[in-house]
Amino acid sequence: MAKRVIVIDDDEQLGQLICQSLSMLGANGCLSFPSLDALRKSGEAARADLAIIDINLGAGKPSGIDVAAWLHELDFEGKIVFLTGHARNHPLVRAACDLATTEILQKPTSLDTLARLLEGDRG
Amino acid sequence: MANTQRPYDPDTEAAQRALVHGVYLTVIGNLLMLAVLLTLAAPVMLQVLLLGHAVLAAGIFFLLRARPALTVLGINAIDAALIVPYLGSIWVAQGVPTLAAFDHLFAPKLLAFGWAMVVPLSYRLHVALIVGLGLESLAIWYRQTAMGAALPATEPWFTILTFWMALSLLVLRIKQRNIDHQVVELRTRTAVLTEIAVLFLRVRDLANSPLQKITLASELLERGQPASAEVIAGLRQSVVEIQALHAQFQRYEQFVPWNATHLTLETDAANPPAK
Repeated sequence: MAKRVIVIDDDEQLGQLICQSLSMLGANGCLSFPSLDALRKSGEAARADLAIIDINLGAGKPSGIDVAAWLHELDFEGKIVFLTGHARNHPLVRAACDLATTEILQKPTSLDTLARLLEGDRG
Repeated sequence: MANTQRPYDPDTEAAQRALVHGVYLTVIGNLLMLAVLLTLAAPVMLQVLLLGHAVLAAGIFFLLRARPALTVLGINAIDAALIVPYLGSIWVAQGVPTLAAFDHLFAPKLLAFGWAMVVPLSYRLHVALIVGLGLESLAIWYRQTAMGAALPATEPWFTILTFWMALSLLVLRIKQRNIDHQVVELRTRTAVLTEIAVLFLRVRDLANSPLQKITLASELLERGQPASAEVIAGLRQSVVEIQALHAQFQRYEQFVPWNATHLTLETDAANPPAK
C-alpha cells in the first residue's frame, strides 16, 4: 500500500521539494509543515504512515525531537525518520539517537534513499 | 601609518613590574641601613654608597613611571643597576670595625634568595649575580676568619648550601615559567581550534539545506520531471543561500597572511586524480 507522508521542515521550499520527490516516487499524498504548531493545527499527523522530520526547526522553536515526542503521545504508528545536517555528536542528534524506532538520515539525501523509505515495510 | 606601539609581551611587562618593586625595596632598605649606619658612625664612604644607590633607584623609579618602551637589554641593564651596587656595599661593610658585631654573611644570603624568587627577564644575569655574591661571601668568610672574627662553626658550609638552594630555586622558577608558557600556549591553541571547528560546523549546517534542495532538484530533472515552479524556486533560493554564506566569509579575508601554502586550496573533489 502506498504510504501517506508528512514532512516537517522549517525550510518550506525544501519541504515542498521533498513532497514533490516522494509523490514522484509513488507516495499516496505528502504534506509539508514548517513547524510543530502547523502540524498540530492540521490534524494530519494521525493519518500518516511516514514522518520525515528535520531535527532543527529554528532557534527558540520546538525541535524535531519535540515533534517526535508529540507523535509518540498520539500513539503514532508510522515510521519516524529524522533528517539532519548536524554533526553526529550534536546534542539534538544524540537525543534523536536515543529515541527508539527512529532513523536518522544525513543531508543531503538522495531520491534513492527517499524511495527506500517509501518501500520500507512493503511486502 | 606605522604601528608605533610595542607589541604586548607578558614577560617584559612582568619584568618591568618586578623592577618597580625592586626599586621600592632598594630605596626603603638602603635608607633604613643608612639610618642604622649613622647611629654607628660608620665610614662616610659606606654611607655615600648606600645613599647613591638609593638615589639611583629613585631615578630608575621616575624613569619607569613614564612607561618607556624598554628593550630586553634596557630591562636587564636596569636590573643589574639595582642589584650590582649591593656587591660593593656588602664588601665595604664587612671591613668596617664598628660593624664587627654584624653577621656579614646574613645579608648576602637574604639577597640571594630575593634575587632567586624574582623571576627575571634574563635568568643568566641572576645566576651570574648569585654566583658572584656567593664567591664574594666566601671571600668575606675567609677575610673575617683571618681577622679573627667569631663566625659560626657551620660556616662556610651553611653559606655554600644557602647559595646552592638559591640557585636551585631560581632554576625551578625558570622551568615553572617555561611550563606555564607552554600550558598557556596549548590552552590558547585548543580554544582557537575549538572556535574554528564550531565555525566550520556552523557553515556546514547552513549549507546543508541548499545542498539538499540542489540534490533533489537535480535528481528530479534527471528523471525527466518537469522544471516546476517549486523546483526552479528551490534552485534559485539555494544559490541565494550559498551566496549569503560566501558574503559571511569576506570579513575573514583580512586575517590571512597569504603565503605559498595558502595559495593552493583545492579539494580532491575539485581535482580528482587521473584514472
